[in-house]
Amino acid sequence: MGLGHLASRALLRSSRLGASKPSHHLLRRTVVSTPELHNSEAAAAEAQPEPDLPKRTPVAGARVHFPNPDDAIEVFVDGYPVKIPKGMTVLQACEVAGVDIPRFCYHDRLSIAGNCRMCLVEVEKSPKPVASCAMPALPGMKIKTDTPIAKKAREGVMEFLLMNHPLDCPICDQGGECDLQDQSMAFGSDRGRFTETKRSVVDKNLGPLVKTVMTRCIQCTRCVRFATEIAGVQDLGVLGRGSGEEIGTYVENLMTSELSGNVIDICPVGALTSKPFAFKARNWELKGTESIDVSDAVGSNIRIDSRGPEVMRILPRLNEDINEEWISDKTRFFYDGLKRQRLNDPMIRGADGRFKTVSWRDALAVVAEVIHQVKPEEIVGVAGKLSDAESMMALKDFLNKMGSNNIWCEGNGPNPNADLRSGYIMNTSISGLEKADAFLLVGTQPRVEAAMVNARIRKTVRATNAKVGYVGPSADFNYDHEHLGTGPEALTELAEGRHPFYSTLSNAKNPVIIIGAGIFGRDDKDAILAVTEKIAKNINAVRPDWNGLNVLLLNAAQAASLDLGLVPESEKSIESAKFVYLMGADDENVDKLPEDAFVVYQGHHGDKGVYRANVILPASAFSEKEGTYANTEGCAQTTVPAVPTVGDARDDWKIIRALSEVAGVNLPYDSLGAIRARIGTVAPNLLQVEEREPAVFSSVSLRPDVKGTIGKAPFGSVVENFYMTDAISRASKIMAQCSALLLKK
Amino acid sequence: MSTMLRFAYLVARVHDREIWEFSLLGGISFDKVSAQALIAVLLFFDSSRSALLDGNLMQTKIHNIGATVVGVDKFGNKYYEKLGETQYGRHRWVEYASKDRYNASQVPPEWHGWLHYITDHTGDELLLLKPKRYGVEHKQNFSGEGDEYIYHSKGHSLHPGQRDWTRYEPWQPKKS
Repeated sequence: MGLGHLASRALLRSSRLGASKPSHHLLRRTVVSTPELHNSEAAAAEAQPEPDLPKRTPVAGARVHFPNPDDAIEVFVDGYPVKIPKGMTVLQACEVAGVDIPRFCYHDRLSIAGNCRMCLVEVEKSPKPVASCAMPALPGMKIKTDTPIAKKAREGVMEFLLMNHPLDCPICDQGGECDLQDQSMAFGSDRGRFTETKRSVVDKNLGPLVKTVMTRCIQCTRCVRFATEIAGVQDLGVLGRGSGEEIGTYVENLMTSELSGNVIDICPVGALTSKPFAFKARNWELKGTESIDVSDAVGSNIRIDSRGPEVMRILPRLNEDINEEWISDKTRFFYDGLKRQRLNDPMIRGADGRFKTVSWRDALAVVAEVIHQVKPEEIVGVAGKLSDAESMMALKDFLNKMGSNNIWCEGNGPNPNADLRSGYIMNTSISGLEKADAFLLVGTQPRVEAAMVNARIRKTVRATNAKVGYVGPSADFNYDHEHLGTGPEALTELAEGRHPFYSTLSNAKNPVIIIGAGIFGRDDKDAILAVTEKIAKNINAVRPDWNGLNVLLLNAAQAASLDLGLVPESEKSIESAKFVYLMGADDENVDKLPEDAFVVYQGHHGDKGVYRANVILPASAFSEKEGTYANTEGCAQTTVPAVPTVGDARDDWKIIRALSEVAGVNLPYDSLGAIRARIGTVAPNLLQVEEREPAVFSSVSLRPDVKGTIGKAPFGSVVENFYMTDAISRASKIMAQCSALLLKK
Repeated sequence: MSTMLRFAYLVARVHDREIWEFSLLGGISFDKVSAQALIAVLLFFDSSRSALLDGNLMQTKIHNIGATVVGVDKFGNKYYEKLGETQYGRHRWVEYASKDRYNASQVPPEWHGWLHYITDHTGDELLLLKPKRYGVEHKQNFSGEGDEYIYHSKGHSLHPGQRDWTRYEPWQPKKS
């Protein structure tokens, strides 16, 4: 929270005060009190603004946005004039002025509770210190944050908070990143006056992810507000009053939210901590690596905390455009899958059907020999859902050089639409969803497919009462929605304007249509896309200033693979394949393969794909390599290696580069820079790292007329188990526990 | 009187009965006792020397003035109590027998309750309740006292099971 600066300032001030205090008798030790502060004249005299102090910078780069310049008001924080928009609180005004106010209950993404009282400041002409987080700033207000009265008030609050707080920092997992610990350095007394016994609170069982030690709870209610406001589950609440106040689930049940892990981050004390991480490491031992999540297509920004060669935990990183400051539970807790079921040596299946560990040289020689023995049209390459753009580029170039163009990324279906970029990305952008006022979800359950996108839709629904219409199988939503039907016939009705929800959509200013990537597998995909585009045209969802026609992808690799043009030449290629190169592809249906097909599996986990493989080439996982991923809104981001890779594994693109040399068709790149330059010639948007490149054309007006009719089959749900969708999460023990305990049967 | 002398005088006051009497003498005719002589006396007593260097011990010694010794346990730790002008909740304390390597785990269980205000029965009274047949002797926590008591994280060269872990579990091909 960056209170170090605050702490040092407070310490400085207290030492200055201490110098003027009459020295206590040596033998008597009392709680430090500041009796001279009861004299208000003395306090006022000390709080005179000093004119020649250095200019302050806003806390954590806080920016002020004036929606209406006339609404700007001026307040004085410690004598500095600050211009802020109307409606800001005193605390926000202080942050703009560069003063960090200590706080426990205030969180800028949650509603204001004002119950911890730690943010007390002095306001001129106010008889008492005011809670700055709940007080709106008024024009000309003179706010004083570092007066003795404010300090004394905070010291009092701190003493009350510490009264019932256990002294178990040495065994607390929050130790080192605890707000209470940090702020008690500035405002805590070095001894307590509390002689009664501390209260005891029964720990709650919130499931396999969140560990609770409820005696440490200071009742800030951040977790309750997070659960009801952001996660949209009514699981947590406050029970009891006064010293009997407790946070808990009203009846004994688990917290069944896909965002529950975030309460660990927002808890200012150690009451809610990570259960898998409990007692594993101290936060100061960890090395943070700022990387990207690959467990879904959102590309949440994460920090991988590692100790030595092990990933210890994963935390969210702030990115207002993608994941704000939350991540889903799968992102946060699937890291233990990185340590299990790893492929660490190249292996060849012998004549007896057993795998034998071989050297890289031998494995690549075998693959190169076989690939030259089959006809080019019998070569098939499938990229997995966790593949990065570099390796997909290398795989496509390699197979193209071998004469085959049967290469695709799993999840994209037999005939993907890669012609126009607007046809497969989220054109509105994730943060753009907040401007929408009506949603139409077509065959997608964003709650399990992309939890962070769902959180954004929920935020919009909560803020603006946007209407949500949903076409698909009955699904779990955490916001109000209207179920319009289970199959595509509801779309036909909407396109013809017969459906009652059509008026909601057509009256909306910024309507948004989100098509789930699950329909890519359907035979009538093009017809469904065409009818959806017709709806978009009718409700005016695609305009020069607003593009509301979106596709919500499922996997981290999907957007980049379509950008790179990984489109199979023939739809039935897998049935006639003789040589299949699975690059981490586990969900491809290998049963249809001919018996004599030669399968190479290149990947990091011994998952479904390896059982049909003839040769296994071990690769590194996303936490161990540098790779470019494009998320569902088309924003390219790169992972950064956090830990060394396991065993003899290598980066994916390097394996293919080496294989191309053994096979005698050298790929012309030897470094990451060179392969990125090659990517730049195919899909330059993938080089615009962390900058979303919107699609240039909209597909609505440019798509040729589609022949074919809409099928009768209802939409299916794509993600059966939110906690297990890819090789890493299927290997994870934590995710296995979650799916056993938390999935609604 | 210099501050050094004041300090030495105070330390001398608080220790043992001999010093106590001595310092009373010195207090009456303090100007006549030279500072060097007093410090020489102080250095003679081992515990005084450690109290000079150790602020916690020093503070305990200062606290002990006017307090009553409630009991002494089998390790020689002395338990003090002072009612009246001390703050309630800070009126019981222990002076450890060991003057250099003392820690809270040296307090045996029978005294722990009294020391932490769980009970008003002293350790000597509670010792009568100790089961004769299966009551285990108290041992202090030896953490950090010698190599076998120091925790070494896995992979550390002194960790006993240094090689019996892997940082990842490799996939094991099954018979197909």
